[in-house]
Amino acid sequence: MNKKASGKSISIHFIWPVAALVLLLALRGLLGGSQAEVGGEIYQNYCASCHGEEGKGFGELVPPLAGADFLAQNQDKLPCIILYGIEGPIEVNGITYNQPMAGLGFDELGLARLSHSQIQQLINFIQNSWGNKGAEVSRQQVNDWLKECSKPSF
Amino acid sequence: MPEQQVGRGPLPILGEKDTQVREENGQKYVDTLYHHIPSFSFWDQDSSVVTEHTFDGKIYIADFFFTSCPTICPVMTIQMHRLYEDLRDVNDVVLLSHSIDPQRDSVAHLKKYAAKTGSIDAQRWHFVTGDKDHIYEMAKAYFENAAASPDAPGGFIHSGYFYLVDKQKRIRGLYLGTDEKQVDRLMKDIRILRNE
Repeated sequence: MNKKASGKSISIHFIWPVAALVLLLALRGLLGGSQAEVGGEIYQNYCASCHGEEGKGFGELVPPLAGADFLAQNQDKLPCIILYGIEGPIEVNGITYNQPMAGLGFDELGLARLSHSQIQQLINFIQNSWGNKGAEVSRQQVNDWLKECSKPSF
Repeated sequence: MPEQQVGRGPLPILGEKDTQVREENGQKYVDTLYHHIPSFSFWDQDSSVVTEHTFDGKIYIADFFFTSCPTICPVMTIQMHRLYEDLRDVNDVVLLSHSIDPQRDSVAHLKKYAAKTGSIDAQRWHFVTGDKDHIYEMAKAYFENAAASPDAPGGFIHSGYFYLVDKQKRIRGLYLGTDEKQVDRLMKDIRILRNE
């Protein structure tokens, strides 16, 4: 009888640290981890086929995102570029790229493909991947910066 | 499109078939005529004339794109480049990318585009341009739906297909050039076709 009781009390002692750890991991997933995960998922779906899994770009057609000076210098333009695309020459790490990129914000029918919050998470993913260490962008900043742009003609 | 297995049977011959009765020594024979790519003449990035004879004795992979395309073309070029690298040591398989925007995509423009893609050997990967109607007519021979369309991104519509053409100028497969997995399958099919 006594043996059984003591066995039970040992297992209860083990449960609390395990439960605390599970709770901690769940909270981390909800707060910290998920943003990068959503951003990474969007990157895989819409960006990786051109910019590459490692953000290296392609030849002199597609500029890199990994280690790109353009990102830090033009942080406020990133939401507009993602949503509406970009056309005309840009310089990235001393190389001129001049390949138009279609915006990712809308599908062929003009329906929204990415929300402002998803754009924010995508930017934060890119800015914190492959050695990039860009300043965290807030939802408010994305909203404000998006007021500066409109859909281009192509 | 369902994933197809490696080691499956011979590749299909695509397009409509026709038959022709031939008489030889009083005997009648029925020949099957397969759909094939007709004669053409374009210029590539080195200003060389490229015709159907450029591909005599060769398998080739064709696609239709334009350099200022903002959507699927960079992905197609990246996947074509994968093929280009994969076929580095193969001398009987070459690539043929047709511009469907000959007005903007001059020979000089295509040369620049090829250089930006990497140092491309024009003998192994021809970027071609030419008479607009002739390009669109050729596109139809590949079952490609290419056309100018003011509403489309960049001003043209086209598909992202890569067409596998055998040494008899017959189409043996089509693969979405924007889908890495389908291009993997194309790489395997090229090997099957070379062993025919």
